[in-house]
Amino acid sequence: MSGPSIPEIETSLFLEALKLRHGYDFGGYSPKSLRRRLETLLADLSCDSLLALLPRLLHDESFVQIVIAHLSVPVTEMFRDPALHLTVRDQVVPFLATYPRMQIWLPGCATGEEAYSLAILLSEMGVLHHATLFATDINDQALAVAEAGCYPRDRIEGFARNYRLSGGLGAIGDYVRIGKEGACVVESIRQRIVFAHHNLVTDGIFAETHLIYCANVLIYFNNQLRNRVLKLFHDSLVPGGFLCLGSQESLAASVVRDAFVELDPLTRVYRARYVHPSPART
Amino acid sequence: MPLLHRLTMAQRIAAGFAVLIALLFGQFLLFDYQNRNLKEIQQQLVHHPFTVTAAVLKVEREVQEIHLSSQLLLSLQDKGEMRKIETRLQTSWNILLEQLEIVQARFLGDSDRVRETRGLLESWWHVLIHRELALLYAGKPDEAAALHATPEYQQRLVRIDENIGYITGFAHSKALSLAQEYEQSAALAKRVVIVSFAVIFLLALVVAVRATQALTRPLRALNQAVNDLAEKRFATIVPGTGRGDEFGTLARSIEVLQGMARRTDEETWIKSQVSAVSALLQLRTDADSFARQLIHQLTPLLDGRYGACYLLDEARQLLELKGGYGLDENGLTRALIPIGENLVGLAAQKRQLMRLNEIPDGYLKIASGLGGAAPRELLLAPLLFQDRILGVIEIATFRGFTEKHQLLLESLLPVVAINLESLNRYRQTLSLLEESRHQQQQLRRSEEELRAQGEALLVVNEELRVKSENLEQQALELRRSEEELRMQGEELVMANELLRQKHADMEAHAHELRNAREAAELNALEVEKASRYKSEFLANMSHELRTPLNSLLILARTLSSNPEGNMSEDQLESARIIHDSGTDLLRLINDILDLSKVESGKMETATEPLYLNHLVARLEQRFNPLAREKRIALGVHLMPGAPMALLTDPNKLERILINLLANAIKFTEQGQVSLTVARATPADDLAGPERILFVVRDTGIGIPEGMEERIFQAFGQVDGTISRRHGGTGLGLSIARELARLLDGEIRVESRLGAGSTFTLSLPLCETDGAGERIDVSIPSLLPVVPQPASPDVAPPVSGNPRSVLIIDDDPVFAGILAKLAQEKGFVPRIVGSGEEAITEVVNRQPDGVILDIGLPGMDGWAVLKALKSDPTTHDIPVHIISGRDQRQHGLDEGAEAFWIKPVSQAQVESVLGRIARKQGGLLQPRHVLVIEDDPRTRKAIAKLLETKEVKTTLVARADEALDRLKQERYCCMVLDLNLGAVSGFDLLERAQTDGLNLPPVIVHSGRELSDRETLHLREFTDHIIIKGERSAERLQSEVALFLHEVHCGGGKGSPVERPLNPAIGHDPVLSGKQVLIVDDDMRNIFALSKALRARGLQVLMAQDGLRALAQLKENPAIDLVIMDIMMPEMDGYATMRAIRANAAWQSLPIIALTAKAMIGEREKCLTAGANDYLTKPVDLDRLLAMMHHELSRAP
Repeated sequence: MSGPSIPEIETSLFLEALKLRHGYDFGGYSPKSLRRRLETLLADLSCDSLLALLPRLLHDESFVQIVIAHLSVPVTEMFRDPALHLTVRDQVVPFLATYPRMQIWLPGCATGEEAYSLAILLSEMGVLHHATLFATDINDQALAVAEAGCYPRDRIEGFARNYRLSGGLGAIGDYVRIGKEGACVVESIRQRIVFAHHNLVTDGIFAETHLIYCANVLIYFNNQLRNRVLKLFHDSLVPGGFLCLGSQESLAASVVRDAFVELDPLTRVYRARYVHPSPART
Repeated sequence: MPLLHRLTMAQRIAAGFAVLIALLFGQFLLFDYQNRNLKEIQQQLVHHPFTVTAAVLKVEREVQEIHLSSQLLLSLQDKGEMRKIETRLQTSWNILLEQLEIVQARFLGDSDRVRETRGLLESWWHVLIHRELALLYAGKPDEAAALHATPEYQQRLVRIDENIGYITGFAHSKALSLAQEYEQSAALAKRVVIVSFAVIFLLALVVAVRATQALTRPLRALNQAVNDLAEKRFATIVPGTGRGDEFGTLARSIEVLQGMARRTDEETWIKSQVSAVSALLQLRTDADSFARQLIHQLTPLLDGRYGACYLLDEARQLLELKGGYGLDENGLTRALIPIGENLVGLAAQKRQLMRLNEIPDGYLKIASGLGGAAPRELLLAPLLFQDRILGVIEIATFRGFTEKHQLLLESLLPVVAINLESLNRYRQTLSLLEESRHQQQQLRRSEEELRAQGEALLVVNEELRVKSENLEQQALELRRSEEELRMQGEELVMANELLRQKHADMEAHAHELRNAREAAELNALEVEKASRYKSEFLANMSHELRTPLNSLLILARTLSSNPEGNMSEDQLESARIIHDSGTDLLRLINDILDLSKVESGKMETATEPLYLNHLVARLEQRFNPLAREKRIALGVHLMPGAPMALLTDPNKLERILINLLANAIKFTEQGQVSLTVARATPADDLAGPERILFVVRDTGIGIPEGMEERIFQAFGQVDGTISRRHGGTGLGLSIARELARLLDGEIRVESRLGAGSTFTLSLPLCETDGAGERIDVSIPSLLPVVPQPASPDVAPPVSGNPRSVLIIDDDPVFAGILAKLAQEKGFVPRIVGSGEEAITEVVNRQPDGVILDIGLPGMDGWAVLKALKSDPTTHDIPVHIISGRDQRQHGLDEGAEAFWIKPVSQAQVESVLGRIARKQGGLLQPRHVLVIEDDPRTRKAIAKLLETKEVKTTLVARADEALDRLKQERYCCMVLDLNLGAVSGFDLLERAQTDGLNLPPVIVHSGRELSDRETLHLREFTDHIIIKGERSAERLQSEVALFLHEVHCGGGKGSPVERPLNPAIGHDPVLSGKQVLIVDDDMRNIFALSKALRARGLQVLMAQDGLRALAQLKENPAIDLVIMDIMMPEMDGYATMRAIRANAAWQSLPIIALTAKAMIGEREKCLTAGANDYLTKPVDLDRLLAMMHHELSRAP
């Protein structure tokens, strides 16, 4: 007898329940990574079966945050991709500086390191004061960490290394202060960042943006969802706006392929074509 | 001999050899003596005769020599020679004298003769030398010669000879006599030697024989003795033990060896006897046989003739006779002897071996059959084990006991004692064993007794158990009954509880019933109200639904017509979809409304006369394009006999027929659809008054049997899959049937699956002459085949003479699309379907451009292109080919302006049209860009950056200059610096606005950073704000280029600002004049919204974040409504709303939240935070307006 295996059935039932009850639709996530994450969830809760978690999922309001925290991918670090940061520094920010006010969107920001990294970069380029960074994620727990801006001290070394590699002009100590709660990002950097809950699967665009920095988020999505999200990005970006996808992602097979020009093939920085004027011009 | 015997053998041998050596020495001395004699004789022989003879001979030879030399002298005259000879003579003389001395000394004969000779010679020499030589030197040889001749001289010579002869002769004879003497001495010596040897030999022989004898004789005797010893003849007496020599020593050693061997032999014997006796004794198992065996073995071994063995009875301390040997029955032997009594007892007491040689008479007599005798020696040996007496052995012998016997006894007794002891112990063990066996038996017996007692006890026990079980049973029964009682008690309590519960339930029930009744009453009221609401709803439906829908449709339409030409194909497609969906929705709403009206009986009919020919014409016109598109035949037949006109509700009849026809076409893929209008015949089996039949027949998919009724139900199609394929509202047939009923008619259906269906509408026939009918044949057509004047929302052609374009394509749909687009761009399009037609058309009308398809019926596109390009009158007209096949190069080679491959996008078509528009006489019209910049160098730089063949720039430095320019000319766009001296860029923009000047797209190119406020301000005019910087030139170029691709440039030259955009957007009186605050940090959204809202007569205020929003609210208390974005920096929407609600003055201020979030729960979150309603981004303007309308009409 062939058909979906029991774990598959359980997984889909669980995800369906999550969708119906809480509106989180993980149907567009790559099944493999999703399965892995669900396994971690089970392991962390010392539970054998997803079905056994259903009652909690349905009735326990706070439980969904635990599930989301497990299903999303909060792995990140400061200046995670030094090469990408270099490209942004050299080729993207000079363009962004020609806008009177720049809005940057970091979807899937997880615990916020990348947002802070970018803010530090902008600060060093002297443009942070007229930039707004929207860092969004579906994981409220991660967002809380991000908003606090404090990280375990032992990660500072990694931050510092990546910071240097990505062409940092100062010292990481200028932006991060060691305190009681760990290494905390200084207020001047933090104040330009808006952390908010946003679900790429269901939610729409919320602002006109000049740069979308979305490194290594789309890799967890299937084609359909990826296309949806890329369209969303395209709609949000101004003509000539930039899209950073991270080295693992490409627009080559996507529906918005023709709407972007590849600026740097190595770090996958794309630029929206000047195809049509902004529809707001009426 | 006694002396000889005292000497040792070595001495004797040494003496023998000494004698022999002495003899040999004597013989040697004898030999030596004889030898010396012989030697002496020989020496005499040599010393005398031989020496003398030799000397004489030499003397003689020298005499001769001298004589001859003197002769020679005589013959010589030379004195030299003479001297030589003289010398030689002298030498000879000396030798002669020497020899003569020897002779003189050795000669044994007459020495006088020798002396005489010497004298003679000397006198001769004297003469010769002194005289003769003197003469000769004197030269008187003759005289000299005369001397020789003298007789004296001669005589002397003769005498010399004689003397010499004598001497020689004497010597010779002397030699002979000496030789003889030697011979005699030698013979004597030989004899002496022989004799002495013989004597010595005999002596040695005697010594050897004697020595041999003295050695061998004692050796042989000793050898015999050793052999005897080896053969254990120990009695042999070793000879020569008394000798003092080596043999004596050897003999004594052998004697010692003999003794040792003898002892060893005895010991071996003793040991073997001991072990033999011991082995025998070990076989014994009782003391009596042991004793008997012992004494019988022992006595013969000790050469005893009598023997007795007593063993100690330990209990009684008595020695008891247990075994005897050669015992006289009548003898004095006592069977029991106390220790210490008589010899036996004494031996036991003393614990010593006792030997008695002198046995008292009568003590014992050894008896035999022949007689008896008293023994000679008696031996008493106690048997001791660890110094404990076990018994005594008594043995008597006639011969006496030897050393051997005693040794044997000494060896044997301990062994016997051990054996006896172990036997005793064995006996003891046996008796113990016996005892224990006995005790065991006793034990077994007592066990048996116990068992018997136990069994008796068991019986008693069993009896007791039975008794106790009975007791237990009784106790259990007691407990059970107790439990039962308790249960009964509990049940009673429960029952009580239940009763109480039931009572409470009853009460609750009664309460619920009361509530329910109240609810039912309320419900009834509500139903009534609902029904009223429903009527109201239905009444308001048209307004509430159609108004926004209308706006939507018109907007969508406007959008899809792309009035600004600034939309991408995607967007246009979206707009079209919006339009189509809106239309569908509108239709659905109408249908639902109609249906509900009909159903509730609220639909009224308006009877009017209707000309059937008009009706069918309208229907034909309406459905022809659709049928053509689906390539099915549409036949409309007004049958003879049908009335001219009909008195009915024309709208409703038309609705019915439209529905039926639309349905028929929808479900027909091929074949035909026909409408036949005819009078009913009796055969049509329709009862009642005369009727007219409208028969719609199709060759479509048909309806399965049994489903005929279903298709008339609302939303009822045959199955879901069809609905997906065929679309529609699903209400058409339901409405048709209801309308038919309203008109007193009915619809019947006949169908076969796969063979088509026939719908027949029959109506009562009320003929009329048709007077008063409204004739309205204007049916909106989607694609005008014939060009129409441009609709008001399409920009008019730019120049006075409208540009014309000829579309040559046999696909009417595509040609229609092209025509429509061309029309919108201000062209006058014409469509022809064939090549021949096309050529005539081009030659006659000389259009500004031609769009040509290649695949044409008959003369194809290539032929058309060739014909046009070869005709000088049409040669310059640009031809754009749009073809399905890529033959770009061929097309360009043949002279086409451009080659486009199907499918083409709208943008491409627009590009084609743009190029046609710009190409006048084969040249592209340059595009103009206005650059307003006060810095001359920057101005130049921008001009350089932007200017190309197709782009011209107009450079101005001041704002007023720019305004003047704008009033005079059209520009594709303007690049505006903000710092322009007296009049800034801001001012310029504002002034243009107040002047009602239609500005071209503005690109702000600012040398300084802009504050948020300034940006906000600028964004009212443009999205394109560039801050000068590193990469600003690039961006400027890109942004300008964006506008250059517009088909026509749209600004300047006094063109009025088009506002409101669409007059179709009515001013909602509720909204008009109201003040709205939009709070959003997304400028794009703010301006889009504010423009849309202003267009509807609202006053719009803006705030970019929560704090500014609160400030704005404080400043403007007149604000009627807030549109609140959620995701904002610093103070987000939720917080802002909470802050607003926290202020008492704003409790009822309507707030509509805008959010990008569509998640479950988002709405609740917004409402909780204080919003009145919630809308997701991207904003649906109509929904927003509806919400605003609702909120504002609600508000006081």
